[in-house]
Amino acid sequence: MTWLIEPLQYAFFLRALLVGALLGATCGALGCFVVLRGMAFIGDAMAHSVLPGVVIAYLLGVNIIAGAFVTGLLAAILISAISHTEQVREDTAIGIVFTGAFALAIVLISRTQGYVRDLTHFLFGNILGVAPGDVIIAAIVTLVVLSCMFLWYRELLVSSFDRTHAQVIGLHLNWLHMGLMALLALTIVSGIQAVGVVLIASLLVTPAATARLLTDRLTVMILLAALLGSGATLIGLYTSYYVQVASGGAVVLTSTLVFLLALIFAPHKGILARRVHQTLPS
Amino acid sequence: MSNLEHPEVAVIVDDVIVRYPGTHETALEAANIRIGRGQRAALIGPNGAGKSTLLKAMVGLLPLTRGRIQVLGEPAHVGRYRVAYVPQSREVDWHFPITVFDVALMGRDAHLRWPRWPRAHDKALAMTALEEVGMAPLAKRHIADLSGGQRQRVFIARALAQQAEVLLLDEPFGGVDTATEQLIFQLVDQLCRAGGTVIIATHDLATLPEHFDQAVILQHRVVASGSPDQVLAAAVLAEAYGGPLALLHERAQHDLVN
Repeated sequence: MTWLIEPLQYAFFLRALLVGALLGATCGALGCFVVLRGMAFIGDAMAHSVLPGVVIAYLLGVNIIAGAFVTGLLAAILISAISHTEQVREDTAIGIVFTGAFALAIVLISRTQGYVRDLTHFLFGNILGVAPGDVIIAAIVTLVVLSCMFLWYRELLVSSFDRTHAQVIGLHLNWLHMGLMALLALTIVSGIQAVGVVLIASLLVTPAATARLLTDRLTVMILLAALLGSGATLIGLYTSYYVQVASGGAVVLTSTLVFLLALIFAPHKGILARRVHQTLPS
Repeated sequence: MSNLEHPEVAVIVDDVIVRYPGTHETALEAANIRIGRGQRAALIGPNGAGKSTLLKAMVGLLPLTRGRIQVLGEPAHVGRYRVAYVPQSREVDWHFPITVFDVALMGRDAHLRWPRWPRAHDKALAMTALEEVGMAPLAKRHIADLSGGQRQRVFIARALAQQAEVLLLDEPFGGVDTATEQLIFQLVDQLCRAGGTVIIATHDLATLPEHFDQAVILQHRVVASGSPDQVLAAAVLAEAYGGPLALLHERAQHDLVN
Protein backbone atom coordinates (compact mmCIF):
# COMPACT_ATOMS: atom_id res chain seq x y z
CA MET A 1 0.00 0.00 0.00
CA THR A 2 3.01 2.28 0.15
CA TRP A 3 2.38 3.29 -3.45
CA LEU A 4 -0.88 4.88 -2.30
CA ILE A 5 0.79 6.86 0.46
CA GLU A 6 4.09 7.70 -1.16
CA PRO A 7 2.89 10.59 -3.37
CA LEU A 8 0.97 12.09 -0.44
CA GLN A 9 4.21 13.41 1.07
CA TYR A 10 4.18 16.05 -1.67
CA ALA A 11 1.98 18.99 -0.81
CA PHE A 12 1.22 19.59 -4.50
CA PHE A 13 -0.14 16.07 -4.87
CA LEU A 14 -2.27 16.36 -1.74
CA ARG A 15 -3.71 19.64 -3.03
CA ALA A 16 -4.41 18.01 -6.39
CA LEU A 17 -6.24 15.15 -4.69
CA LEU A 18 -8.36 17.55 -2.64
CA VAL A 19 -9.27 19.74 -5.60
CA GLY A 20 -9.85 16.66 -7.75
CA ALA A 21 -12.18 15.03 -5.24
CA LEU A 22 -14.19 18.24 -4.70
CA LEU A 23 -14.36 19.04 -8.39
CA GLY A 24 -15.20 15.49 -9.38
CA ALA A 25 -18.07 15.39 -6.90
CA THR A 26 -19.46 18.81 -7.88
CA CYS A 27 -19.26 18.18 -11.62
CA GLY A 28 -20.73 14.71 -11.20
CA ALA A 29 -23.70 15.91 -9.15
CA LEU A 30 -24.47 18.99 -11.25
CA GLY A 31 -23.80 16.97 -14.39
CA CYS A 32 -26.88 14.84 -13.65
CA PHE A 33 -29.11 17.78 -14.49
CA VAL A 34 -26.92 18.71 -17.44
CA VAL A 35 -27.43 15.21 -18.84
CA LEU A 36 -31.13 14.89 -17.95
CA ARG A 37 -32.00 18.29 -19.43
CA GLY A 38 -30.06 17.57 -22.63
CA MET A 39 -27.57 20.37 -21.95
CA ALA A 40 -24.32 18.47 -22.56
CA PHE A 41 -23.47 20.66 -25.53
CA ILE A 42 -24.17 23.82 -23.50
CA GLY A 43 -21.72 22.65 -20.83
CA ASP A 44 -19.01 22.20 -23.42
CA ALA A 45 -19.84 25.51 -25.08
CA MET A 46 -19.69 27.37 -21.79
CA ALA A 47 -16.31 25.87 -21.00
CA HIS A 48 -14.96 27.21 -24.29
CA SER A 49 -16.64 30.58 -23.80
CA VAL A 50 -14.84 31.02 -20.51
CA LEU A 51 -11.50 31.37 -22.26
CA PRO A 52 -11.80 34.99 -23.52
CA GLY A 53 -12.72 35.97 -19.95
CA VAL A 54 -9.51 34.38 -18.72
CA VAL A 55 -7.44 36.24 -21.30
CA ILE A 56 -9.14 39.60 -20.78
CA ALA A 57 -8.82 39.30 -17.02
CA TYR A 58 -5.14 38.46 -17.45
CA LEU A 59 -4.59 41.46 -19.74
CA LEU A 60 -6.41 43.82 -17.38
CA GLY A 61 -4.73 42.32 -14.36
CA VAL A 62 -7.97 41.47 -12.59
CA ASN A 63 -9.10 38.20 -11.01
CA ILE A 64 -9.05 35.50 -13.67
CA ILE A 65 -11.84 33.47 -12.06
CA ALA A 66 -14.16 36.48 -11.98
CA GLY A 67 -13.39 37.22 -15.63
CA ALA A 68 -14.07 33.63 -16.62
CA PHE A 69 -17.33 33.52 -14.68
CA VAL A 70 -18.61 36.69 -16.33
CA THR A 71 -17.87 35.57 -19.89
CA GLY A 72 -19.31 32.11 -19.16
CA LEU A 73 -22.58 33.70 -18.05
CA LEU A 74 -22.55 36.19 -20.92
CA ALA A 75 -22.25 33.32 -23.35
CA ALA A 76 -25.22 31.58 -21.72
CA ILE A 77 -27.31 34.75 -21.95
CA LEU A 78 -26.28 35.31 -25.56
CA ILE A 79 -27.21 31.74 -26.50
CA SER A 80 -30.59 32.20 -24.82
CA ALA A 81 -31.18 35.54 -26.55
CA ILE A 82 -30.24 34.24 -29.99
CA SER A 83 -32.44 31.16 -29.74
CA HIS A 84 -35.31 33.30 -28.39
CA THR A 85 -35.37 35.22 -31.67
CA GLU A 86 -36.68 31.92 -33.10
CA GLN A 87 -34.65 32.52 -36.24
CA VAL A 88 -32.10 29.82 -35.41
CA ARG A 89 -32.32 26.66 -33.35
CA GLU A 90 -30.69 26.48 -29.93
CA ASP A 91 -27.94 24.05 -30.96
CA THR A 92 -27.01 26.37 -33.83
CA ALA A 93 -26.92 29.35 -31.45
CA ILE A 94 -24.61 27.36 -29.15
CA GLY A 95 -22.32 26.48 -32.03
CA ILE A 96 -22.09 30.12 -33.10
CA VAL A 97 -21.54 31.63 -29.67
CA PHE A 98 -18.92 29.27 -28.32
CA THR A 99 -16.76 29.19 -31.43
CA GLY A 100 -17.04 32.99 -31.61
CA ALA A 101 -15.95 33.34 -28.00
CA PHE A 102 -13.13 30.87 -28.49
CA ALA A 103 -11.97 32.75 -31.59
CA LEU A 104 -12.00 36.01 -29.62
CA ALA A 105 -9.72 34.37 -27.07
CA ILE A 106 -7.35 33.19 -29.81
CA VAL A 107 -7.19 36.67 -31.38
CA LEU A 108 -6.46 38.24 -28.01
CA ILE A 109 -3.80 35.66 -27.22
CA SER A 110 -2.04 36.20 -30.52
CA ARG A 111 -1.51 39.84 -29.46
CA THR A 112 -0.09 38.80 -26.11
CA GLN A 113 3.49 37.68 -26.02
CA GLY A 114 4.70 35.15 -23.51
CA TYR A 115 1.27 34.11 -22.48
CA VAL A 116 1.09 31.04 -24.66
CA ARG A 117 2.68 28.76 -22.11
CA ASP A 118 0.33 29.79 -19.29
CA LEU A 119 -2.53 29.36 -21.66
CA THR A 120 -1.94 25.68 -22.27
CA HIS A 121 -2.76 25.27 -18.58
CA PHE A 122 -6.21 26.60 -19.20
CA LEU A 123 -6.67 24.58 -22.35
CA PHE A 124 -5.59 21.25 -20.90
CA GLY A 125 -5.41 21.92 -17.18
CA ASN A 126 -2.66 21.32 -14.68
CA ILE A 127 -4.17 19.90 -11.56
CA LEU A 128 -0.76 19.05 -10.15
CA GLY A 129 0.02 22.75 -10.22
CA VAL A 130 -2.88 24.03 -8.13
CA ALA A 131 -2.06 26.64 -5.51
CA PRO A 132 -3.30 26.50 -1.89
CA GLY A 133 -5.78 29.26 -2.75
CA ASP A 134 -7.32 27.07 -5.46
CA VAL A 135 -8.19 24.45 -2.85
CA ILE A 136 -10.20 27.03 -0.93
CA ILE A 137 -11.93 28.22 -4.10
CA ALA A 138 -12.80 24.64 -5.05
CA ALA A 139 -14.22 24.06 -1.55
CA ILE A 140 -16.36 27.20 -1.72
CA VAL A 141 -17.64 26.35 -5.20
CA THR A 142 -18.52 22.82 -4.06
CA LEU A 143 -20.38 24.18 -1.06
CA VAL A 144 -22.34 26.73 -3.12
CA VAL A 145 -23.24 24.34 -5.93
CA LEU A 146 -24.29 21.44 -3.71
CA SER A 147 -26.31 23.71 -1.37
CA CYS A 148 -28.15 25.25 -4.30
CA MET A 149 -28.89 21.82 -5.74
CA PHE A 150 -30.21 20.76 -2.34
CA LEU A 151 -32.38 23.84 -1.83
CA TRP A 152 -33.78 23.90 -5.37
CA TYR A 153 -33.98 20.15 -5.77
CA ARG A 154 -37.78 20.02 -6.21
CA GLU A 155 -37.75 22.82 -8.78
CA LEU A 156 -34.94 21.18 -10.72
CA LEU A 157 -36.64 17.79 -10.54
CA VAL A 158 -40.09 18.96 -11.67
CA SER A 159 -38.82 21.26 -14.43
CA SER A 160 -36.40 18.66 -15.79
CA PHE A 161 -39.07 15.97 -15.95
CA ASP A 162 -42.16 17.92 -17.06
CA ARG A 163 -41.75 21.53 -18.20
CA THR A 164 -45.45 22.06 -18.72
CA HIS A 165 -46.40 20.95 -15.23
CA ALA A 166 -43.58 23.07 -13.81
CA GLN A 167 -44.92 26.10 -15.67
CA VAL A 168 -48.53 25.46 -14.68
CA ILE A 169 -47.74 25.24 -10.98
CA GLY A 170 -45.91 28.56 -11.26
CA LEU A 171 -42.22 27.68 -11.35
CA HIS A 172 -40.13 30.32 -13.11
CA LEU A 173 -38.45 28.25 -15.80
CA ASN A 174 -36.27 31.05 -17.13
CA TRP A 175 -34.91 31.89 -13.70
CA LEU A 176 -34.27 28.23 -12.98
CA HIS A 177 -32.45 27.86 -16.29
CA MET A 178 -30.29 30.91 -15.65
CA GLY A 179 -29.60 29.76 -12.09
CA LEU A 180 -28.46 26.40 -13.40
CA MET A 181 -26.29 28.23 -15.95
CA ALA A 182 -24.69 30.27 -13.17
CA LEU A 183 -23.89 27.11 -11.21
CA LEU A 184 -22.52 25.56 -14.36
CA ALA A 185 -20.31 28.59 -15.02
CA LEU A 186 -19.06 28.52 -11.43
CA THR A 187 -18.21 24.83 -11.63
CA ILE A 188 -16.52 25.16 -15.01
CA VAL A 189 -14.45 28.13 -13.90
CA SER A 190 -13.11 26.28 -10.89
CA GLY A 191 -12.60 23.17 -13.00
CA ILE A 192 -10.57 24.57 -15.89
CA GLN A 193 -7.59 24.84 -13.56
CA ALA A 194 -7.67 21.09 -13.14
CA VAL A 195 -8.65 19.53 -16.47
CA GLY A 196 -8.83 22.56 -18.75
CA VAL A 197 -11.39 24.08 -21.05
CA VAL A 198 -11.29 21.26 -23.57
CA LEU A 199 -11.93 18.39 -21.17
CA ILE A 200 -14.21 19.85 -18.49
CA ALA A 201 -17.36 18.78 -20.32
CA SER A 202 -16.30 15.20 -19.71
CA LEU A 203 -16.39 15.68 -15.92
CA LEU A 204 -19.91 17.09 -16.25
CA VAL A 205 -21.31 14.51 -18.61
CA THR A 206 -19.51 11.17 -18.26
CA PRO A 207 -19.98 10.35 -14.53
CA ALA A 208 -23.66 11.38 -14.73
CA ALA A 209 -24.22 9.25 -17.83
CA THR A 210 -22.47 6.32 -16.12
CA ALA A 211 -24.62 6.74 -12.99
CA ARG A 212 -27.77 6.81 -15.12
CA LEU A 213 -26.87 3.34 -16.42
CA LEU A 214 -26.69 2.03 -12.86
CA THR A 215 -29.89 3.38 -11.28
CA ASP A 216 -33.44 4.56 -11.94
CA ARG A 217 -33.58 6.87 -8.91
CA LEU A 218 -32.51 10.49 -9.30
CA THR A 219 -31.16 10.89 -5.76
CA VAL A 220 -29.10 7.72 -6.11
CA MET A 221 -27.95 8.89 -9.53
CA ILE A 222 -26.68 12.19 -8.11
CA LEU A 223 -24.79 10.47 -5.27
CA LEU A 224 -23.32 7.88 -7.62
CA ALA A 225 -22.26 10.50 -10.16
CA ALA A 226 -20.51 12.48 -7.41
CA LEU A 227 -18.69 9.34 -6.24
CA LEU A 228 -17.78 8.29 -9.79
CA GLY A 229 -16.54 11.81 -10.55
CA SER A 230 -14.34 11.91 -7.45
CA GLY A 231 -13.16 8.35 -7.96
CA ALA A 232 -12.17 8.88 -11.56
CA THR A 233 -10.25 12.02 -10.61
CA LEU A 234 -8.32 10.23 -7.88
CA ILE A 235 -7.50 7.22 -10.05
CA GLY A 236 -6.50 9.51 -12.90
CA LEU A 237 -4.21 11.50 -10.61
CA TYR A 238 -2.37 8.45 -9.34
CA THR A 239 -2.06 7.17 -12.89
CA SER A 240 -0.67 10.49 -13.99
CA TYR A 241 1.83 10.46 -11.08
CA TYR A 242 3.17 6.99 -11.76
CA VAL A 243 2.90 6.75 -15.55
CA GLN A 244 4.00 10.33 -16.13
CA VAL A 245 1.13 11.36 -18.38
CA ALA A 246 -0.95 14.55 -18.51
CA SER A 247 -3.19 14.65 -15.43
CA GLY A 248 -6.30 16.08 -17.14
CA GLY A 249 -6.16 13.46 -19.86
CA ALA A 250 -5.64 10.65 -17.35
CA VAL A 251 -8.66 11.77 -15.29
CA VAL A 252 -10.96 11.99 -18.31
CA LEU A 253 -9.75 8.68 -19.78
CA THR A 254 -10.45 6.92 -16.46
CA SER A 255 -13.95 8.35 -16.45
CA THR A 256 -14.52 7.30 -20.06
CA LEU A 257 -13.29 3.78 -19.34
CA VAL A 258 -15.68 3.44 -16.38
CA PHE A 259 -18.53 4.58 -18.60
CA LEU A 260 -17.69 1.96 -21.25
CA LEU A 261 -17.55 -0.74 -18.57
CA ALA A 262 -20.98 0.32 -17.28
CA LEU A 263 -22.37 0.45 -20.79
CA ILE A 264 -21.41 -3.19 -21.28
CA PHE A 265 -21.81 -4.68 -17.79
CA ALA A 266 -24.44 -2.56 -15.98
CA PRO A 267 -26.94 -4.90 -14.20
CA HIS A 268 -30.12 -3.92 -16.09
CA LYS A 269 -29.24 -1.37 -18.75
CA GLY A 270 -25.88 -2.83 -19.81
CA ILE A 271 -25.55 -4.30 -23.28
CA LEU A 272 -24.91 -7.79 -21.85
CA ALA A 273 -27.84 -7.69 -19.42
CA ARG A 274 -30.19 -6.50 -22.15
CA ARG A 275 -29.02 -9.22 -24.51
CA VAL A 276 -29.53 -11.90 -21.84
CA HIS A 277 -32.94 -10.45 -21.08
CA GLN A 278 -33.92 -10.60 -24.76
CA THR A 279 -32.89 -14.21 -25.25
CA LEU A 280 -34.70 -15.39 -22.11
CA PRO A 281 -38.36 -16.27 -22.73
CA SER A 282 -40.49 -13.74 -20.91
CA MET B 1 -69.59 39.94 -14.84
CA SER B 2 -67.45 38.20 -12.23
CA ASN B 3 -67.79 34.93 -10.43
CA LEU B 4 -68.69 36.79 -7.29
CA GLU B 5 -71.96 37.61 -9.00
CA HIS B 6 -72.09 34.10 -10.39
CA PRO B 7 -70.73 31.75 -7.77
CA GLU B 8 -72.24 28.86 -9.68
CA VAL B 9 -69.96 29.52 -12.66
CA ALA B 10 -66.49 27.95 -12.58
CA VAL B 11 -65.09 29.17 -15.88
CA ILE B 12 -66.02 32.26 -17.89
CA VAL B 13 -64.66 32.80 -21.40
CA ASP B 14 -65.52 36.21 -22.79
CA ASP B 15 -64.79 37.36 -26.30
CA VAL B 16 -61.40 35.68 -26.32
CA ILE B 17 -58.95 35.70 -29.21
CA VAL B 18 -55.75 33.68 -29.00
CA ARG B 19 -53.14 33.91 -31.73
CA TYR B 20 -50.28 31.49 -32.26
CA PRO B 21 -47.13 33.05 -30.79
CA GLY B 22 -45.23 35.15 -33.31
CA THR B 23 -47.96 35.01 -35.97
CA HIS B 24 -51.20 36.77 -36.83
CA GLU B 25 -52.95 33.47 -37.27
CA THR B 26 -55.94 33.09 -35.01
CA ALA B 27 -55.91 29.82 -33.11
CA LEU B 28 -59.12 30.50 -31.30
CA GLU B 29 -61.90 33.01 -31.28
CA ALA B 30 -64.28 32.06 -28.52
CA ALA B 31 -67.30 34.28 -28.06
CA ASN B 32 -68.89 33.23 -24.83
CA ILE B 33 -68.48 30.10 -22.81
CA ARG B 34 -69.81 29.54 -19.30
CA ILE B 35 -68.97 26.37 -17.46
CA GLY B 36 -70.90 25.80 -14.30
CA ARG B 37 -69.43 24.50 -11.08
CA GLY B 38 -69.80 20.78 -10.63
CA GLN B 39 -70.26 20.33 -14.39
CA ARG B 40 -68.64 17.76 -16.62
CA ALA B 41 -67.89 19.75 -19.74
CA ALA B 42 -66.61 18.47 -23.08
CA LEU B 43 -64.66 20.51 -25.61
CA ILE B 44 -65.34 18.79 -28.92
CA GLY B 45 -63.66 19.35 -32.25
CA PRO B 46 -61.26 17.89 -34.78
CA ASN B 47 -57.50 18.07 -34.30
CA GLY B 48 -56.22 21.62 -34.50
CA ALA B 49 -59.64 23.11 -33.75
CA GLY B 50 -58.39 25.05 -30.74
CA LYS B 51 -59.34 22.68 -27.92
CA SER B 52 -55.83 22.49 -26.48
CA THR B 53 -55.37 26.21 -27.05
CA LEU B 54 -58.45 26.98 -24.98
CA LEU B 55 -57.37 24.67 -22.14
CA LYS B 56 -53.88 26.17 -22.16
CA ALA B 57 -55.35 29.65 -22.04
CA MET B 58 -57.55 28.63 -19.10
CA VAL B 59 -54.51 27.54 -17.13
CA GLY B 60 -52.53 30.65 -18.05
CA LEU B 61 -50.01 29.01 -20.38
CA LEU B 62 -51.02 31.12 -23.38
CA PRO B 63 -51.54 34.86 -23.40
CA LEU B 64 -54.87 36.19 -24.69
CA THR B 65 -54.77 38.56 -27.63
CA ARG B 66 -58.17 39.88 -26.62
CA GLY B 67 -60.95 39.18 -24.16
CA ARG B 68 -60.79 37.54 -20.77
CA ILE B 69 -60.92 34.18 -19.11
CA GLN B 70 -61.89 33.84 -15.48
CA VAL B 71 -61.42 30.62 -13.57
CA LEU B 72 -62.95 30.46 -10.09
CA GLY B 73 -63.35 34.22 -10.05
CA GLU B 74 -59.77 35.09 -10.98
CA PRO B 75 -58.20 35.87 -14.35
CA ALA B 76 -56.44 32.78 -15.72
CA HIS B 77 -52.80 32.66 -14.69
CA VAL B 78 -50.19 30.03 -13.85
CA GLY B 79 -49.27 29.05 -10.33
CA ARG B 80 -52.76 28.16 -9.06
CA TYR B 81 -53.15 24.98 -7.09
CA ARG B 82 -56.95 25.17 -7.48
CA VAL B 83 -56.61 24.43 -11.21
CA ALA B 84 -55.02 21.18 -12.39
CA TYR B 85 -54.07 20.49 -15.96
CA VAL B 86 -53.17 17.19 -17.65
CA PRO B 87 -51.76 18.01 -21.10
CA GLN B 88 -52.17 15.89 -24.18
CA SER B 89 -49.14 14.49 -25.96
CA ARG B 90 -47.01 14.28 -22.89
CA GLU B 91 -43.76 15.97 -23.68
CA VAL B 92 -42.01 14.34 -20.77
CA ASP B 93 -38.85 12.30 -20.90
CA TRP B 94 -40.01 8.74 -20.18
CA HIS B 95 -36.45 7.68 -19.48
CA PHE B 96 -36.12 10.24 -16.71
CA PRO B 97 -35.06 8.49 -13.49
CA ILE B 98 -38.31 8.82 -11.59
CA THR B 99 -40.79 6.47 -9.93
CA VAL B 100 -44.56 6.36 -10.29
CA PHE B 101 -44.91 7.67 -6.73
CA ASP B 102 -42.61 10.63 -7.38
CA VAL B 103 -44.69 11.66 -10.38
CA ALA B 104 -47.89 11.62 -8.30
CA LEU B 105 -46.11 13.56 -5.55
CA MET B 106 -45.40 16.38 -8.04
CA GLY B 107 -49.07 17.30 -7.78
CA ARG B 108 -48.28 18.52 -4.28
CA ASP B 109 -45.58 20.91 -5.49
CA ALA B 110 -48.42 23.21 -6.52
CA HIS B 111 -49.19 23.76 -2.82
CA LEU B 112 -45.72 23.77 -1.34
CA ARG B 113 -43.58 26.81 -0.80
CA TRP B 114 -39.89 26.89 -1.48
CA PRO B 115 -37.90 24.71 -0.89
CA ARG B 116 -41.02 22.58 -1.47
CA TRP B 117 -39.93 19.56 0.50
CA PRO B 118 -42.97 17.29 0.73
CA ARG B 119 -44.33 16.52 4.19
CA ALA B 120 -45.84 13.23 5.37
CA HIS B 121 -49.28 14.65 4.58
CA ASP B 122 -48.28 15.29 0.95
CA LYS B 123 -46.88 11.80 0.58
CA ALA B 124 -50.07 10.31 2.01
CA LEU B 125 -52.17 12.31 -0.47
CA ALA B 126 -50.01 11.18 -3.39
CA MET B 127 -50.40 7.56 -2.28
CA THR B 128 -54.17 7.92 -1.89
CA ALA B 129 -54.37 9.38 -5.39
CA LEU B 130 -52.44 6.41 -6.76
CA GLU B 131 -54.82 4.06 -4.95
CA GLU B 132 -57.76 5.81 -6.59
CA VAL B 133 -56.40 5.14 -10.06
CA GLY B 134 -55.33 1.59 -9.16
CA MET B 135 -51.63 2.34 -9.47
CA ALA B 136 -50.60 2.03 -5.81
CA PRO B 137 -49.10 -1.46 -6.31
CA LEU B 138 -46.79 0.03 -8.96
CA ALA B 139 -45.79 3.05 -6.87
CA LYS B 140 -42.12 2.11 -6.70
CA ARG B 141 -41.80 1.20 -10.36
CA HIS B 142 -39.91 3.33 -12.85
CA ILE B 143 -42.25 5.36 -15.04
CA ALA B 144 -40.79 3.84 -18.23
CA ASP B 145 -42.02 0.36 -17.21
CA LEU B 146 -45.67 1.43 -17.54
CA SER B 147 -48.09 1.06 -20.46
CA GLY B 148 -49.78 4.07 -22.08
CA GLY B 149 -52.95 3.60 -20.05
CA GLN B 150 -51.03 3.19 -16.81
CA ARG B 151 -49.01 6.35 -17.51
CA GLN B 152 -52.21 8.29 -18.11
CA ARG B 153 -53.55 6.99 -14.79
CA VAL B 154 -50.44 8.20 -13.01
CA PHE B 155 -50.82 11.68 -14.49
CA ILE B 156 -54.47 11.70 -13.45
CA ALA B 157 -53.28 10.69 -9.96
CA ARG B 158 -50.92 13.65 -9.98
CA ALA B 159 -53.84 15.95 -10.76
CA LEU B 160 -55.92 14.28 -8.00
CA ALA B 161 -53.08 14.71 -5.50
CA GLN B 162 -53.18 18.41 -6.30
CA GLN B 163 -56.76 18.48 -4.95
CA ALA B 164 -57.78 21.08 -7.50
CA GLU B 165 -61.32 22.41 -7.88
CA VAL B 166 -61.08 22.67 -11.64
CA LEU B 167 -59.55 19.80 -13.59
CA LEU B 168 -58.59 20.25 -17.26
CA LEU B 169 -57.87 17.09 -19.24
CA ASP B 170 -56.55 17.36 -22.79
CA GLU B 171 -57.42 14.25 -24.86
CA PRO B 172 -57.05 11.91 -21.88
CA PHE B 173 -58.32 8.89 -23.84
CA GLY B 174 -55.70 8.86 -26.59
CA GLY B 175 -53.75 5.60 -26.61
CA VAL B 176 -55.55 4.39 -23.50
CA ASP B 177 -57.28 1.03 -22.86
CA THR B 178 -61.05 0.76 -22.24
CA ALA B 179 -60.62 -0.01 -18.55
CA THR B 180 -58.62 3.18 -18.05
CA GLU B 181 -61.18 5.20 -20.02
CA GLN B 182 -63.99 3.85 -17.81
CA LEU B 183 -61.95 4.60 -14.70
CA ILE B 184 -61.31 8.18 -15.81
CA PHE B 185 -65.05 8.77 -16.39
CA GLN B 186 -65.78 7.23 -12.99
CA LEU B 187 -63.29 9.55 -11.27
CA VAL B 188 -64.70 12.54 -13.14
CA ASP B 189 -68.22 11.69 -11.94
CA GLN B 190 -66.91 11.38 -8.40
CA LEU B 191 -65.08 14.71 -8.55
CA CYS B 192 -68.08 16.55 -9.95
CA ARG B 193 -70.45 15.09 -7.36
CA ALA B 194 -68.07 16.50 -4.76
CA GLY B 195 -68.41 19.96 -6.34
CA GLY B 196 -65.42 19.90 -8.68
CA THR B 197 -65.53 21.02 -12.30
CA VAL B 198 -63.96 18.94 -15.05
CA ILE B 199 -63.33 20.08 -18.62
CA ILE B 200 -62.22 17.42 -21.09
CA ALA B 201 -61.00 17.98 -24.63
CA THR B 202 -62.04 15.01 -26.74
CA HIS B 203 -63.19 14.18 -30.23
CA ASP B 204 -65.42 11.31 -29.24
CA LEU B 205 -69.00 12.48 -29.75
CA ALA B 206 -70.35 9.10 -28.64
CA THR B 207 -69.40 9.68 -25.01
CA LEU B 208 -71.31 12.97 -24.79
CA PRO B 209 -74.80 11.91 -23.65
CA GLU B 210 -73.67 9.54 -20.94
CA HIS B 211 -70.64 11.26 -19.48
CA PHE B 212 -71.11 15.01 -19.86
CA ASP B 213 -73.47 17.71 -18.66
CA GLN B 214 -72.29 20.33 -21.11
CA ALA B 215 -70.50 20.40 -24.44
CA VAL B 216 -68.82 22.99 -26.62
CA ILE B 217 -67.99 22.34 -30.27
CA LEU B 218 -64.92 24.23 -31.38
CA GLN B 219 -63.65 24.93 -34.87
CA HIS B 220 -61.31 27.87 -34.17
CA ARG B 221 -64.46 29.44 -32.76
CA VAL B 222 -67.41 28.19 -30.76
CA VAL B 223 -69.59 26.40 -33.29
CA ALA B 224 -72.17 25.16 -30.83
CA SER B 225 -72.51 24.94 -27.11
CA GLY B 226 -75.13 23.69 -24.74
CA SER B 227 -76.39 20.39 -23.40
CA PRO B 228 -74.94 17.27 -25.03
CA ASP B 229 -78.25 16.67 -26.86
CA GLN B 230 -78.35 20.16 -28.31
CA VAL B 231 -74.72 19.96 -29.33
CA LEU B 232 -75.15 16.54 -30.90
CA ALA B 233 -78.11 17.81 -32.92
CA ALA B 234 -75.96 20.72 -34.06
CA ALA B 235 -73.14 18.36 -34.97
CA VAL B 236 -75.48 16.21 -37.05
CA LEU B 237 -76.81 19.28 -38.84
CA ALA B 238 -73.32 20.54 -39.43
CA GLU B 239 -72.46 17.30 -41.11
CA ALA B 240 -75.60 17.44 -43.22
CA TYR B 241 -75.45 21.08 -44.27
CA GLY B 242 -72.03 22.27 -43.28
CA GLY B 243 -73.40 25.69 -42.45
CA PRO B 244 -76.05 26.95 -40.09
CA LEU B 245 -74.17 26.27 -36.91
CA ALA B 246 -73.74 29.85 -35.82
CA LEU B 247 -77.48 30.17 -35.53
CA LEU B 248 -77.69 26.99 -33.54
CA HIS B 249 -74.95 28.24 -31.31
CA GLU B 250 -76.96 31.34 -30.45
CA ARG B 251 -79.94 29.16 -29.83
CA ALA B 252 -78.05 26.76 -27.62
CA GLN B 253 -76.56 29.59 -25.58
CA HIS B 254 -80.01 31.02 -25.15
CA ASP B 255 -81.39 27.69 -23.95
CA LEU B 256 -78.50 27.16 -21.61
CA VAL B 257 -78.88 30.55 -19.99
CA ASN B 258 -82.53 29.91 -19.36
